[in-house]
Amino acid sequence: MIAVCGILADAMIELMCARLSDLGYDYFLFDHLHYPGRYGLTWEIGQDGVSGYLASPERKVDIAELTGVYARYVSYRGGPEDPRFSKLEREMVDAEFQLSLMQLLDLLPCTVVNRAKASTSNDSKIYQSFLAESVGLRTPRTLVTTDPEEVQAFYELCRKRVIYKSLSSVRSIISRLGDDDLKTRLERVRNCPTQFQEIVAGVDVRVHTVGRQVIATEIESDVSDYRYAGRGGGSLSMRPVELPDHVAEACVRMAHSLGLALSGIDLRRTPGDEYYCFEINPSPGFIFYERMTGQPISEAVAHLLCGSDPAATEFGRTLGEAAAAAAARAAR
Amino acid sequence: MGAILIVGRQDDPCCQRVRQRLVEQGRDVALVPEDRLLPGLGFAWKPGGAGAEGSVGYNGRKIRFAEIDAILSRAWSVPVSPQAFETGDGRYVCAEWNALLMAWLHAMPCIVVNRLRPELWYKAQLNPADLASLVSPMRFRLPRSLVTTNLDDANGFCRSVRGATRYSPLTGASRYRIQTETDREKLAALNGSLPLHLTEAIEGRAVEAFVVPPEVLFVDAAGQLIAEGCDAVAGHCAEIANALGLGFCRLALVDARDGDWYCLGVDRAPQLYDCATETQDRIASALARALAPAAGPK
Repeated sequence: MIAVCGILADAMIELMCARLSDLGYDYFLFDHLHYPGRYGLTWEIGQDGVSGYLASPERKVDIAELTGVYARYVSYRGGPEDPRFSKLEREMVDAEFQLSLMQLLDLLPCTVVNRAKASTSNDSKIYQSFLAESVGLRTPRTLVTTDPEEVQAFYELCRKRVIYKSLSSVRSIISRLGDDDLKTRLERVRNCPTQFQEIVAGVDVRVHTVGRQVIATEIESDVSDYRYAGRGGGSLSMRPVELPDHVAEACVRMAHSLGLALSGIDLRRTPGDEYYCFEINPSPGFIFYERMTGQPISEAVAHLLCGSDPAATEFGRTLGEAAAAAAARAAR
Repeated sequence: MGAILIVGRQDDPCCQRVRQRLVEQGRDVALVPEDRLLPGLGFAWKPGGAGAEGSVGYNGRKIRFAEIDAILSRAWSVPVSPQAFETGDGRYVCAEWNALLMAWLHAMPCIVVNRLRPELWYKAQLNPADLASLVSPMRFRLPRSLVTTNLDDANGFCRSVRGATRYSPLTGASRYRIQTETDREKLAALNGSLPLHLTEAIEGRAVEAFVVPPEVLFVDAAGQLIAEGCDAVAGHCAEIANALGLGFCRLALVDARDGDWYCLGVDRAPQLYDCATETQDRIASALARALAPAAGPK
């Protein structure tokens, strides 16, 4: 049994439900929009591990039967606001219910795409850059600062080829730094640490790792941030691409080191065939790439969730847990 | 000798006492006050390679990263006022500061207390479910815990445990005893509004363990140091801190009547407000030794 946790208005949840149906896999939709309410849960942690169930009006699923869980934490609740609570109380209530599910997913022994505890590094892109370097991927020359003079010096050092963007997972449109910015807006950097990066020329490559499988897509666009190409009338095209073995392996290692069963990794291939890494997304909206290229990403995720690959569950665990599981298998 | 940096709040007794200890030892200590951080912070960092090229400054002083021997981080990743935190800009600044601080502490090659793993960035208090998920092997017993949206299941759990249970929010450390019929009525009133998180109440002697590996200081409910009777579990406490990658934490323990020791939770940012003066001094001294190992007796 596979559980899908999220809201149907999320295109990724809709896609995964459709893909699981298409492949004939039995799944249970845990609809956040109606949790609490029509959907509920009970789980207990004791000396023997976790036990319990997920429930809908029609069905009750023992968590011991789960082979995999696909969860999306984005746009968590939505729906009408409960008039009993103030804004602050609503935030607290939402956090409580969200945690009631996230803690369960952190504890489940099956494959979870993805556990909350494996997803947190997404909140620091600069932390992720260290991770990328540790697996052998290059990262762009970067400055993080609150000092306008440092920005000016970095701008000159990089021959005025610099972009700026957020450090955290708060989505920001990547923008190119220009002479006008230095004249008019530079002082603002004192109010908030900001990340500046040297522009790396080349072609964007989005890599999705699904367990050990690597699915890469090359993107060509004439704007700095291709995700927003449509807004400004920019061009955008995509095509499937094969990665060199060492790059593919580095991507799998990076996802594995975070305990991510599924990841979306943003790379850029330079004209000299070097690969730079920008970030790793623990909840990738791969529908964007699947629609444009027909690459079978959702199908790969579905197979992972049905538990056909015993080694795949290791990707949903932390490294320590995976090592312990491998040792147990070896002992058997 | 280089500088020792304390990132925290000026009114935090832990920051104050550790600073005092280190200054007494002749160390150069600089405080970066998180509650008055921006726009006074001067920070510049070029990550990559050794991860240590840059400088941090406050109040006109600038320290190169290479000159920093150790960092005590008592930060909460909220460098704005409570009023500003309610605004979009305020929350953005908090997210950016947290992203910077977590990565920077990870990258610094010096001693850092605490250098947090991503799993712990947003978890200051770890409950039994967190410990089951993050610590293996766990040498303490964990109390049974239930999370449910079903009142019948909650009542069944209460009946199945030997004594009382406790309700606590999943997002906080407060606990409420559920024992009488009135308690159960109050619990029932929460159903539908909040998930019910119940934990078996373990009867016995409550002990707090302040861990600065390898040192472990046991403290009683009055905040006084406990001289005897806990040595057997000191190693277990240090193991948990090491498993979580923590250089400073507090464990809530119970020396149960049946002879077992239980761990009820871990606080990775312990406060010293409830500790007696001598206890505060001993904890501060342990932290000073961890931050400046050559300066004090082991």
